[in-house]
Amino acid sequence: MTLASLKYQQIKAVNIDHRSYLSAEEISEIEHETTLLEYREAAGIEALKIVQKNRGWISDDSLYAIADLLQMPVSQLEGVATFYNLIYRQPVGTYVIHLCDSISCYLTGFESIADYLQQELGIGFGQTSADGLFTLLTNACLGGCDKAPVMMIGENHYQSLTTDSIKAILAELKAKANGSKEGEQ
Amino acid sequence: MSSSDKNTSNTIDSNLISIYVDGIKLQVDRTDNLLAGVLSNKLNLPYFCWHPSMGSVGACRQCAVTVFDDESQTRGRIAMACMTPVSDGMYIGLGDHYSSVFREQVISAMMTNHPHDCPVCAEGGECHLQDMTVMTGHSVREYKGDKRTFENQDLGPYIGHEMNRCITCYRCVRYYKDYAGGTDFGVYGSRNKVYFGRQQDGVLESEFSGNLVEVCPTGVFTDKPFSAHYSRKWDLQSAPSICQGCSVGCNISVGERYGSVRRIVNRYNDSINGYFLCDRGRFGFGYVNNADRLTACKGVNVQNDNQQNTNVSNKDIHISLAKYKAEKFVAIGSPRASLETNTALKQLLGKESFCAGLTEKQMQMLLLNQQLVTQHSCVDIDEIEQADCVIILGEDVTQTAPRIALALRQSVRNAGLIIADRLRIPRWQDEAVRTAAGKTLSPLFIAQVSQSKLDDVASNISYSSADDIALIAKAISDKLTTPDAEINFLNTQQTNFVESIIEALSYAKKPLIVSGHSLANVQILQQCLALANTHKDKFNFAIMPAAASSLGLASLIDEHTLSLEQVIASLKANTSDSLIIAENELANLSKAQQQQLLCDAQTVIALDHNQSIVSEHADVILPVATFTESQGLVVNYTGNVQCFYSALNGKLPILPSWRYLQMLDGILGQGNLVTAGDTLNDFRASLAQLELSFPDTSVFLAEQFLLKTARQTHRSSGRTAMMANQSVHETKATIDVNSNFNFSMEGGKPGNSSAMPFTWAPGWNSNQSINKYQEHAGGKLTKVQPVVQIFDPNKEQTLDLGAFNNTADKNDNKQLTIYPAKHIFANDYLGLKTSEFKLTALIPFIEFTPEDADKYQLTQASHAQIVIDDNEYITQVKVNSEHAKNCATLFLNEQVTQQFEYLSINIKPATAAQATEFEQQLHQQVASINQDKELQLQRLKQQDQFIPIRLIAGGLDDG
Amino acid sequence: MPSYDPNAMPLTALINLDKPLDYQGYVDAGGYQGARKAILEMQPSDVLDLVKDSGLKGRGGAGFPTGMKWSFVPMFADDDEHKPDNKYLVCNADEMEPGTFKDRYLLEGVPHQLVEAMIIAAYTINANKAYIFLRGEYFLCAKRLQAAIDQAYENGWLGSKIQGSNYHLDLYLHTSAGRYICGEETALINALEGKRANPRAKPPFPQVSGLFGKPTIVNNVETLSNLPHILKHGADWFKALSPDSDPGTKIYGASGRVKHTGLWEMPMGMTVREVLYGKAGGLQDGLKLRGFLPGGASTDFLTEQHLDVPMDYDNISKVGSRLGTAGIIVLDDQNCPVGMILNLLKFFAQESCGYCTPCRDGTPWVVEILTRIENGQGTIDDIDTLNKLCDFMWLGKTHCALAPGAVEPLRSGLKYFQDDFIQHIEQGCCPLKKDQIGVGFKDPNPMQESPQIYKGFEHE
Ligand SMILES: Cc1cc2nc3c(=O)[nH]c(=O)nc-3n(C[C@H](O)[C@H](O)[C@H](O)COP(=O)(O)O)c2cc1C
Ligand code: SF4
Ligand code: FES
Repeated sequence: MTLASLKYQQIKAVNIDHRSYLSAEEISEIEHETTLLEYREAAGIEALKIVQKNRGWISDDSLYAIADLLQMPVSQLEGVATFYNLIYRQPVGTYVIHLCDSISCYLTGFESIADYLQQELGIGFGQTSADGLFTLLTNACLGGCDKAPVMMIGENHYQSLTTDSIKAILAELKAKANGSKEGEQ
Repeated sequence: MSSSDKNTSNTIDSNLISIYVDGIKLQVDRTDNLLAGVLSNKLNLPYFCWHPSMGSVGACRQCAVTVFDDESQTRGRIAMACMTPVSDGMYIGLGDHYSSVFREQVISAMMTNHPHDCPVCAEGGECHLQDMTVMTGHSVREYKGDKRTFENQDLGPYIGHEMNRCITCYRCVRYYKDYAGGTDFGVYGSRNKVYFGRQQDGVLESEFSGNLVEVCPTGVFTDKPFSAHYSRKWDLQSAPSICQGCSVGCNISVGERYGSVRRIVNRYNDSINGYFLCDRGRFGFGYVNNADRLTACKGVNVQNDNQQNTNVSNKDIHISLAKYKAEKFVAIGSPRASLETNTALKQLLGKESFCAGLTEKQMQMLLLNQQLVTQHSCVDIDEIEQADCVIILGEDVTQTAPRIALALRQSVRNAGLIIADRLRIPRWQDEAVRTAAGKTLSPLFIAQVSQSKLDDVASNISYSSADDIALIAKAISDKLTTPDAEINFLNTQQTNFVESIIEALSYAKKPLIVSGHSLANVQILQQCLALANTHKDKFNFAIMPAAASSLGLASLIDEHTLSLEQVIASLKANTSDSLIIAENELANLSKAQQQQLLCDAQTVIALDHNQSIVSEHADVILPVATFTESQGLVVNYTGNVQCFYSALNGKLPILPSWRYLQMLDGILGQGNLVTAGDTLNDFRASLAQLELSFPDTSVFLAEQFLLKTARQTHRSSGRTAMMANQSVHETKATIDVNSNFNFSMEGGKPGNSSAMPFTWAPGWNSNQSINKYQEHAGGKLTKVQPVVQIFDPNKEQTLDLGAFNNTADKNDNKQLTIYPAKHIFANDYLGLKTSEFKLTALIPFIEFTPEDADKYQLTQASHAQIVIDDNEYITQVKVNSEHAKNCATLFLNEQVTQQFEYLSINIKPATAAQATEFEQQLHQQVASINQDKELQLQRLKQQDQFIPIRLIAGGLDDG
Repeated sequence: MPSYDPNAMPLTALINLDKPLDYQGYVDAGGYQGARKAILEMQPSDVLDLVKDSGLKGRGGAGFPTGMKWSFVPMFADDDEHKPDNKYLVCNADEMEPGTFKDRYLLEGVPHQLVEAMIIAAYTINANKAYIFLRGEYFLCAKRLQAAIDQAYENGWLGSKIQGSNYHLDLYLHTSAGRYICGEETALINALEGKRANPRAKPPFPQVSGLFGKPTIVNNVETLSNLPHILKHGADWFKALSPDSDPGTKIYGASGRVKHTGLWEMPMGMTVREVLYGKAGGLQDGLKLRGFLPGGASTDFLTEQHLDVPMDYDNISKVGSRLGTAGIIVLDDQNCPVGMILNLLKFFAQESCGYCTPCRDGTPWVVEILTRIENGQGTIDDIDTLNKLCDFMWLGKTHCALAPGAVEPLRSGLKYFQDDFIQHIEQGCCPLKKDQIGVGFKDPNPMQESPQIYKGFEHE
């Protein structure tokens, strides 16, 4: 520690001990991944995905904890995390909508779907709705070109989208989210 | 071209082959890539991502050439020169339309996001991007869109960050992470938003962060202290110099303007520092500009008979000091003073009255070191980088001789390079070589007290006390002599450690032993010497003494030379009365000893440039020049004598030490020096007459009688704006009779001299112009620097070392052996005169194993109260199982001693109040250091308005 | 129409998208016979010869002969001290080329076929570890593949002593996290090593120094899927599948506004017309064909005049495009070619890894210009700049093939749809969106760029 680094103490969560931060399941899942590859740090992407699956996104603390577990520099893990677009380094809504904006969808009505989604959710791309339910993003070709336009929410792909089908999908997800909230109470 | 033609030319050097560039036949090295080959022939081919020390990755695409299928040179394809191996008889287009257009396009694409903020950019005027832009002919902007913008980071006090200027060449991260092994720097994002920096704001942790400034081809990473008090390169007056930070002796270039030193940059020397410096060397000149400087004489009455001149005159000094004539003086030198100064001190009062400024133990160590260098020699970084098995014995080189650590980091790659060789991957293809190598490293063994920055590449580490480290060395020697020798003086871990070393040595062709003085342990050096003697030519050595001039001082030590302890005794016994102390702050003595020495002396005459305990006690102070204001010799760890030159003259009465010593000789001395001549050259010649070991320095002057080299950049107009704020009339340049350099823009171009004041070549304003002065890109300089060795290996060592052999430390009676922590910025008192170093040196701490901490009821992150003799200190506590047992590592700001002698030590937990006060003080310190920094800057900026103009760089009365 | 038996198409014969065959079902349908034959009856060199003989070419886009690629893997004697401790086989299932969805079909529909294929390929190059690199968005594929892998382990097809032989192989599924560049084989290797997925310089080729610096083969899903059938039926059978053309079959696709979008396995060398009109039923009512990309986003436009070109590697190359992935993307007359090219280039700018200058700074520059043209703010000079940029990013000038791929639709678009560009510039708007002038201009592509949720080092 140096005097100069005192200044940065507030913003820097120096080292997060993975044992106190990650859950036992997360640790064992990540440990399993490390056995499949030659070096521990090769499991970086898998580790990020595992933690993100549980926590919605990768916070700085998560990043530090994973780096600690994989015994790799945080800077290197951040380099990986910011390279891939399915790793969220900022908080996202319960549902992240990935709307395909690639060519086949573009040719078959992506624009009106995009307009509709933004209108319905009251947000632009890259934003999260006020109720915290939806984050709207675009995605490169989702491989559903024969059933364009397509979007992906969570692990589900929704194909041959129309404004009507989107309306139904959003309603269903909202209901599900509200239902689970009520369930908690 | 007929084939017989080709054959005849190839016989000159079997490693050379011919290629044709724009139809012209060139010789290139067959192991080179095309870019290196073309640059080695001094052609202009722009590039960014390639670096001679870091190889090629093919990212920037700037070095494109056309590779033709045959000699008709009609059909060709674009290839990146840096990624293309040369082959005999290949045809290349460089000036052809096809590749020229592409190279211009590369720049114009990079410029789509570059902010064009050259006026406010610290890189301006020495920017590789500017140079390459002009070189490619790109001069009209076609892009009409918006530019992407980035947030910059606060990277601490050394490195400024302006990411918008980035052209994404990846050099920074490849240097910082891959080359220098830094972990807190990376590359983030992708597409046209690639970001280089830390994960979050914060001080860059690498000891080599400053090289980012030179590695970055544009202004993303800039020298922060330089930017704060900025000058364009073409307005700097520069001098070739030698870093004074440690015993490696890196070559540097000091840039000055208006009487203050603005910055230090690397000066290429292929065998000492290559392209890189450590941060100590780059940023550690704070003491030169400090308010702490001694600028006036003390104890000298100025006669003032001449109204014009308020300066001290020669006569004044003679009159004022005459009264001390009767006293019996001892002259004390220093490992940080130049060879001339120390030699003059020895001659001043005679060798019986000369003290090297060292303690008994330091002298022993230095002599052992000297013997090793003389008989077995120490190797330069080129050899270090080729080592295939390294054993570090107790020296934390990252902190004490950082450039060596950087070289060691390259050496561990050797095993990986062999894998790449087998796959026929050329060594310059950096990324592929690293991929093929994977995690394979050459063996590096470290025996040390506490963790070091090289641990991440070590194959085995033994945490041992200094005495045990010496025993480990002995065990290695024993085992090598008798493979099944029983080692019964080490513990199991240490024995295994030795076993693994022996195993690795059996494969090694170029093993290297690294050690040094920082643990203050005589036995380690004794064992190194024994290893060298017993196993002749088996090992290479790199033994690091403490300071820039240590080995020079060693050459002066003879059987009469006094230790500091002897001086103290002789003052007590009244065999001597008074002291002349040159450039020595006596930090190797305890506080009690310092008091004894200085108070017992009747008169203290101090020659120094910064305040210290010595100047506080001095009756007479003669203010001397620092290395930036004077010329002199230092001797590095291999015994290489190097000359540093002044970038400017000190303001009178500041003079180089040797001039004051010459004067003192006339008043108090034996009279050998008074007549030694008026110029440094004559003075040196006289010293060589008087002192047998004094090297022949005439080679440094060989160039003198040709055209002198200008210290300032050339302006073809023949005029300079340097002094325009005072007078638009051209001021008369100071005459420098001592060196082959002019204080002027007139004279030879930088490459005229083997020691280049700065690097520059037509069209190449940045440091990368150095390739115009190399025999081969990244190789030796065309003008070979003279190599002068201080030690003549053929000369018999006269000194009997046997006498010292039984003076080993005996620590058995102490419960805990304490070692002072070494830190790059805090190894000596001059280091801590740089504000930035105060901010980035460690916070006081004591570190030991959990078991040892338990003995004192101390826990991790608590505070300790430490009473050494009568002085009380509060420190933070680090508990770390990776530490030698029964040992502690201690870091105290105040106590920057090289040796740590004490009578009693008492360690216990600090009270809550003490701890709180300690932490509060830290925050106050930050505030006050920053305030000092601010004041200093203001002072220097004011000073810029009054430039000291001296006509001759001579003595006091030469004005 | 040349005659072929649509029911005898090997790759897709067993596809069931709703419920793919499980292990037993696959074996009952003749599965794992190829792998059995290879491992129990043949030496690796025999398999290699067979694959070479079959003339199989890579289906990942570049069409490189598979057997030849494998033969670059250095073989070592068991006691060779330089023998690497591992070799790797990697299946490239990162399918992200816009307009391409064939691998997904194979993975979801008949996962065991790929597992069997990988056993054969790994055995041939003597690899003991194999990975399937699957794009992260293909969740269903991941589930089905993992199930197939698990069943293969249970039934002695993976692990040690496969089917009683001395051969052992571990096969792992790696799911990625987005980015088109991961499909480039060396970038894929970096991604698999947990690094940023920048492509590597070649040489050294992965066959010599690939994953973790060890010899590595990367093959596409479709390429590999041919192997069980080649093993089972032989090289001659494979060659006979497609008369007069590259051997074997090809899965063709069609997307855009055609009547029936989809995928069809047919003998290699079917004409565009056979796919586009024979299978996809032509354009939707009221639309006319303006052009098409024959094999995914990174191929050159072709037009009506090319409808009778056979879709194989050579013939498509001859008319100035590439077979690519054989996923045809159709541009109709109600879609603006400038808008389409803009969309494509946005994709490439977006997916550029950012390593080399022409691609990193060239693709966004094209996007900037095309956006202006599409918005009616272009100038004639812009067309000139676009042409220069095409040169700038062309093959050999970039670090990998992504940017040259981006150039293909652009340069051919500039050629075939030059009038459209000029109309945009002269009329000051997109001719198809004239009605919107004066109503307030509407950006044809609402996003300047696809937002990504990563922590902003960039300025907000
Ligand atoms: C930018 C880029 C993206 C690519 N994406 C894929 C891909 O998603 N899937 C694939 O199989 N090949 C892809 N390729 C081709 C691969 O680099 C490689 O040629 C292929 O996996 C080799 O397999 P094959 O020989 O079986 O065709 C891509 C190439 C480039 C340049
Ligand atoms: S062409 Fe594009 S994707 Fe390929 S290396 Fe260059 S920047 Fe990366
Ligand atoms: S210097 Fe050759 S590509 Fe950068």
